[in-house]
Order: sequence, then structure tokens, then C-alpha cells
Amino acid sequence: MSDPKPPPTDTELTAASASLERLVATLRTVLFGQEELIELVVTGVLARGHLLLEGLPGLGKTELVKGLAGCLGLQSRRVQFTPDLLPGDITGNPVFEETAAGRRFVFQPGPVFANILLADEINRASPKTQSALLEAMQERRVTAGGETHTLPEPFFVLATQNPIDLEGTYPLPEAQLDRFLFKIVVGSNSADVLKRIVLNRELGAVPVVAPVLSREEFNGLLALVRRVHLPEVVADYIARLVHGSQPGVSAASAGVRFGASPRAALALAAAGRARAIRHGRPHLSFEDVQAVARSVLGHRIILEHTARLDGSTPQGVVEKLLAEIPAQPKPLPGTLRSAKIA
Amino acid sequence: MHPEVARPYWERRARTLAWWINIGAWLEQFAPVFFAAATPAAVAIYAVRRQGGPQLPLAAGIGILAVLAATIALWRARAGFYRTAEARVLLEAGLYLDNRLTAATEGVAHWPGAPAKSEPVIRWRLQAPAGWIGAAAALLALSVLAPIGDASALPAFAGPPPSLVQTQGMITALQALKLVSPADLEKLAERAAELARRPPGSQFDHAALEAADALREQIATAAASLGRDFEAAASAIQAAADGGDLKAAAERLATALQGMRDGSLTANQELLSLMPGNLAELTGLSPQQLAQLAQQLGLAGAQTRGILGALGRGQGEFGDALPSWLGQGNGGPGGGGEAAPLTLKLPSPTETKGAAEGLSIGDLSRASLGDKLSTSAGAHEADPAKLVGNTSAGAVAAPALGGDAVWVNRLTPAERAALKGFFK
Repeated sequence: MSDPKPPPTDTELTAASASLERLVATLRTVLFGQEELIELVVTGVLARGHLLLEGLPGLGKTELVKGLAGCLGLQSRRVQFTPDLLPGDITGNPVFEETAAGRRFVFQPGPVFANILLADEINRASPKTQSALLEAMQERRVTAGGETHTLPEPFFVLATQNPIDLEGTYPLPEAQLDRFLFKIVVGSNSADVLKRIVLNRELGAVPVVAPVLSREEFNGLLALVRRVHLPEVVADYIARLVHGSQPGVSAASAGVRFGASPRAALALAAAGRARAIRHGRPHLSFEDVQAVARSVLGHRIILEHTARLDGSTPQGVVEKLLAEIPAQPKPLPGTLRSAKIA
Repeated sequence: MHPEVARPYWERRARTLAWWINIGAWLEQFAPVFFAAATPAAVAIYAVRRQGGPQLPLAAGIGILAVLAATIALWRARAGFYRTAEARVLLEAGLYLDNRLTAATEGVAHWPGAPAKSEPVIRWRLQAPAGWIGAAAALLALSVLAPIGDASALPAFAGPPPSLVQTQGMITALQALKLVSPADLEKLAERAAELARRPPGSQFDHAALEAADALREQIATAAASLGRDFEAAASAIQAAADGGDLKAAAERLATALQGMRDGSLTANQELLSLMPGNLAELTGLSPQQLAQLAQQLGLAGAQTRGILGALGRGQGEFGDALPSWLGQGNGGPGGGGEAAPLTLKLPSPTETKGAAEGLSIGDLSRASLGDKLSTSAGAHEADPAKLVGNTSAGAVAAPALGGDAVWVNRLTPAERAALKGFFK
């Protein structure tokens, strides 16, 4: 299918690169030593995706999300998920109101009505409450009391979860995990980074971040991402990667119970487009797909129990997929080998 | 770099890459095909060199074979051929160009500048094709360079095959003994002469050698059989001369005489006419005459069987009656009793098929179970006229009794009564 939208021009790409560089530079002042995490978060937001950050407490996940909201000048809300949290606590409730015109139920919007919803420790809420987010994440609207309410644009869910607490947690179901564009594992900091944190921060003091992008500029960037050209060879590569994750299709998918969904293929294309804009290119490339594949596919591949017992991980499967499936599908003859230097 | 410069560079490089990949694909298929074609070609080259045949048609044939191998390889490799667009994708993936070449081709992005140093995208892996082609080249070189022996330098073998010479020698020796029917020997001599009349070039054909060997074996076997009959007759007559059971001796003598008349080689009629044919004639000779006759018959048997000495077996007792080369073998290098050169091992007399050695069919006094008295060949003779139609495969001796068997056959009367009382 031909792409009807014109690809970004050089002028647009230059302006976008400058804006994004400002955004990333500001976020680096919020979160030290997590350049890759910041890049992934910016890429995910540009792709209009919901992000799931997994990491130990105190690594700056919440600060990063708050900083992102501050940089973009967007409205953000934070919900601390707990086991007794009810769906209405997130989506909002109809409230009985008595006015001069009479008695009626008035919908009181919940915290989900924001541009950025920070769902802190999402795996502490019950499955019923978690599923209340499904419609909001996918349809970007909320239905309560028989009425459907559209969420503000743009709308992102940035959720965090703690991987070490098992007591009182409810692992996210696969259907909900699939709705997150990225699952990003937040790693620990090095000693140098910790030193910078100690020197520049004070316990309890929240860093103040000034907006670096207006809402209009940010919406313009989102529109620009959609115009990134997707070459057919890259689309073919995405399709072969996702298809290769299905059980029995490739050697890398040994031990896989359920492979990535078609939504994963769309997510790869969207995230790749965002990365292309971040790198000032009007087209998607193999390298873009490979850069985001770990974060896009990792949480969408479900392993067999036996494979997990053998030490296999979804991340390992993705690594094997990237190594096994070449960018050029036609194999080289036996008399030649690739000289590609990793 | 200006796009007008960069674009030709990258397009040329993609075309070159596709060209090399296609050569690699063709080479992968060509190497084993070339080896398969080179093997018969090498054989043909060597054969033509050895026969001194024409070189030009051979060279043309090998050339056609090489072209055919290249065409077959091309046909088999065509599915793996790269087009320029595919090579371009491989090029940009190998050089980490972020698909800029594809995007530039589609008019989305600018052509990237040509690199200062041209990094290779593919590397050759030629161990397998080099092995095939090297082996083929070695075969061809061997066929061209291998020395060819000069056939004219070999000593020519004149005369008939050794087996035929031996056969003729045995016939001559038997004729000299005058113990065998001249008519039988004449037939054998005629067969030997027929083999000897073959053209010298075909004397050593497989069929001619087989025929000469078969004739030699036939004469040797027949002579051995006749010799044993002579010795059996001598033994019987000697028993009579020693005062033994004349009736039994007469029977054994009759059996030996029968063998002399009915064998493949029959005894001389004059000799047979001198032999006592029955009990009366046997008793009509004095013991001295009988002893003398037994001695002569024993000598005749030994001489007849001794004809096997021509094959290096048995006891040669002919002396000057046989040619100098037709005696016992000279033995192996150590002087042992090895077979004579160019002779085959004959079966011993006791291994001769169809012969009832030491036992006559009518005398079973010394036979034991399992002894084979004789062998015969035969075949089933089915008479379709005697077809009687379908017949049952068997008859039921007694109908099954089922559960009644328990009552009738297995229970004691007391048990049967108890059971009847229980079910009443």
C-alpha cells in the first residue's frame, strides 16, 4: 500500500531534532545516568504508546514521568495502585447532585482524565481495577453510568511495577500487557551516577522542570512521526520478526508458548518511526526496528513453563530472533558469508 | 558528496555485489557438477591415450561436457540469484546505512556519501568448491599425465591356453595307456582340437578358457572314476585269489565292471573281454592267475588315477609316459607340495557329486543313517487332469461342548451332584 502522507522534509526534521534534543537534555537533568531509559521513554511517547516501567523502588521512575509531564506542559495525574482501589477510583463516578434544576447524577471524572496518567505500582491493584484501564488505554475513552467520555489528547499511561514484591500483587494479564508499547526494565545506577545524584539532589526535594515544548509543538511532533516513510523491505523485516516469534516457526522460538501479536508488529513500526524522527531521518530503518525490538517484543512473548525452568527468558528469545532473522531474507550462497561487523 | 556523484557509486556497488553473489551461487552448484563431469572425462582421456585414439573428438566432447555442466549449474543456481535491489538491501544492512539507499531510491532521502574506504559486505568461503574443483582438476591431470605402459613391450604369449595344453596332454597320456576306450578318447580329442582351432586372438576369451577348464575337469574326473573302478576290480579279484568269499568277490567284481562300462570314460573293450565276468569264470582261474590279474588291474587303476598328477595332484606314476611338464607340481618357493602354476584345485575323489563311493546301492550292510547313497535331480510332476475339485481342509473330530464340558468332563460325580442341588 502506498503511503499517502508526504515524508517529513529536511526543515521539519531539523526542527524536530532540535525540539527533541531539548526535551532529552531536560530529562537528563531529572534522571541522571539513564540515557537509554530516557531515549526509550521519549521514543514511546512520540509513538503515542503506553509505557510500563519495571524496576526496584527509588530508581527514579516516578520522577522521570513527572519530569516528562513537566517538560511537555501536559496535565499529569498520579494514582498509587493498591489492592482496595476500585475501577471508579480511576475512571470516575456518577455523583448524585441536587441543583435548582432538579436532582440528577453528574459524572465526576477520575484521575484518568489527564494527558499523562502515572499508574504507580500497577500490579498492586486487583484485576478488576487493572482492566478498567483497558478501555482507556486502547480506545482512549471511558464509559461510566452508560455514558462514554473521551479522554484528552494526547493520552498516555505510564505505569510502574515492582518486580520483587509478590505478596499482595496481581500480575498483569497478557491482554493488558499487550497494550503497553514498551516494557522497560529500569536498571540500577553506577557509583558515578549515584555521586552525581547525591551532589545535585536533596531528599524530598522535587526537581523543578520548566516546559520545553508547548502542547502544539508536541502534537506537531506526533503528527510528524506518522508521516515517517516505511520502506517495504523494513515492513517485511518487521513481519518476519513477529512471525518468527510464533512457536515452531524459527529456531529462536523454541520454548515459546505464545508469540507476539499483530499489534506487536504495529507497535514495532510505530516505535521505529518515532526513533527515526529522533535520529532525524524521514524513513524507518532496520536499525530502528532492532533498537526497539527488545522493549516491544519482550513482554509479548509467553514462554512454556519448561523453557522458563531451563532458564529461557523472553528477552533471550528476542535476542535470538534478532540474530537469526536477517534483514535481507534471501540467503547468501554457501560460497559466501556476511562480513557484517557487529 | 553530491547526489549526482553518490548515486552512481552506490548503484554500481549494488550491481557489483549482486554480480559476485550470483557468481558465488553459480560456483556453489558448478563445483560438484564439474567433479561429476570430470570423472568420466578423465577416464575417457586415459582410455583414448591408452588406445591411441583421436584427440580432437575427445577434446570437443570434453568441451561440450564442460559447457553442459556450467549450464546445469546455472539452471540450478538461478533461484538464488540476487537482483540489484536485493543486493542494495544487503549492502545497506551490512554497512549500517539505516536503509538510506532504499529510501534514496524511493525518493524519500538523499543518497549517502561514498565512504572513504570501501568496506566489504561479503567474504568468500571457498573451501567446499575448491575441494570439488581441485579433486576434478587432479583427476584430469592424472588422466593426462599418467604414464601409459607400452603394450608391445610385453612378452607375447604364444600358443594355446595352459588348461587346453594340459587337457591335450591328459588325452595323449590316456591314449598311451590303452586302458580307455579309443572311441571315448577320440571324442575328447576332437573337442580339444575344436578348442585349439579357435583363432589365436580368441583363445583367451572368457568363454574359451571356461570351455578348456571344463573339459580338463571332465577328463580328470572321469579318469579318476575309471581308475577307482580298476582298483575295485583288483581288490575283488585279489580277495578271490586269497581264498575269500568267491560269491561276494564276484558281486564286487561285477559292480566294478559295470562302472567300467557305464562311466564317462569306459574301459577298453579288449581289456573288458579279458576280465572274468561272473562267478564261474572267476572260479575258472587259478589263484596265481587271479593274483597276477589283480596286480595288473591295480597298476592300471593307479596309472589311470595318476593322470591327475598332470594337475599337480595325486601320485604321478607314469614316468616317461607323460610329458616332462605334465607331472607333479614343482611346489612353492620353499619346495613344498604347492599346486603347479596356472592350475586350479580339483575336488578330491570323495567330493565328486553323484558318486556313491565305497558303498553300492544294493549293499546296505555298512550303511548308517544319514549316509547319502546317491544324488538325483527331479521335479514335481503335477497332473492337471487329476484335479478333483474343492476339498475340505479338515474334518471336525468332535463338536465343542462349551460349558457342558465343565459338567461332563471336569467334575467328579460328587461335585456334579452338589452343583445340581445348588442350582435346582
